[in-house]
Amino acid sequence: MEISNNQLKILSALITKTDLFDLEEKIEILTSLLGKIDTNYEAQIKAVLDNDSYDALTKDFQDLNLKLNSSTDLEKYLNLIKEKVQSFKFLKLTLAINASEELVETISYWITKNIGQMVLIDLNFDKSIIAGGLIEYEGKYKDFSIKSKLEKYFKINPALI
Amino acid sequence: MEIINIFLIFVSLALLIGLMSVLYFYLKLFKKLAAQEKELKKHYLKKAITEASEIVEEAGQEALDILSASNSVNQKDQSVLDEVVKQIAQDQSSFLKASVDQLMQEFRAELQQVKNYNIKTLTNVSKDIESNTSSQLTGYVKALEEETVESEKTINKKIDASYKMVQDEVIEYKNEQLKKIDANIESLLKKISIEVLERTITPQDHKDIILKMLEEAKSESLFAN
Repeated sequence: MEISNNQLKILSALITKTDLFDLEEKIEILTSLLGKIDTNYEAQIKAVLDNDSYDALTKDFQDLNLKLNSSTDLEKYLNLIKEKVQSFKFLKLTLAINASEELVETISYWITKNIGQMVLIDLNFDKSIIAGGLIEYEGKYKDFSIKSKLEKYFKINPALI
Repeated sequence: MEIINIFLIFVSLALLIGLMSVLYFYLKLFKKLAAQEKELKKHYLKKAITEASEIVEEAGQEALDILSASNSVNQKDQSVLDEVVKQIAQDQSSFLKASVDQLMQEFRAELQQVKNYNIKTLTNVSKDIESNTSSQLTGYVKALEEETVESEKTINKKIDASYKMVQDEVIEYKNEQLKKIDANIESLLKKISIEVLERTITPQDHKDIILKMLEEAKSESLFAN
């Protein structure tokens, strides 16, 4: 059965590259628990994942007809996750502000709507660009910062700033 | 041997005695001849002196005769001679006076001519000097004027070149200063703009700008595969 990323709840919750790194770390921890799963499996998994991730995982198990208390099913699921995360793309954004959660969600929504679900935000911060940002995606780059617009306007060396 | 030697000595002595005898004879003859010659000289000298005295005496007598004759003539014609001499002296005086007058006239005339000639020459020389001086002065003035004009032109050219150089330097300096001022103004404006933007852009503005940026990137096909 072919499963798309958006069918996996745990992956559809990812927004940023940092989220992905966190998930990968947790996946590695869960992988290390394989063979050690006992009757107290729920507590063991919850100790690794946060509530939202745990909820997403349980839904994925239901959708995939997997048993949470089965080490074999858990291994299948972890391998599937590891395989799917390889297909993520990253949109690198350098902003002049530390983006709030609300702003990140807004950007993520725009990305999902205009580019696709398998694109995560790689957020960076640089106050000197004043506003706007720098975008890097799939080898393409463009400076949309207010700083560069000012420099174009004044036509002077940035070092004078 | 001894006999021969004695014989030879004897012969030598004989020859010597003979030779001395001959020499004595000749010396005696020479003295005699010298005495004779001296006597002859005395005789002829005395005779010559006598003859000479006679000749001189005769000549003196003849001279005295001539002189006495001459004195007699002079005494007779002395008055006539004096008259003649006086006349000649007068004639000579008149002639000399006339000659002197004529010479003076000629001298004056000649002197006048020389004077006139000198005056004329001096006048001509003066005119020549004046002419030459005037010509040279004119040439000098002309040369001086030309030199002055050339100098003035050269100075004007140098002044123009210096002025242009200074003007260029001033323009260059002005441009550099204007560029610096522009750069400073632009830098200042930019700093002010940044300060103002940083203070006035709200989180909502940031959000709007970011979304607008994403739309712009999309329109520029930055997200196209």
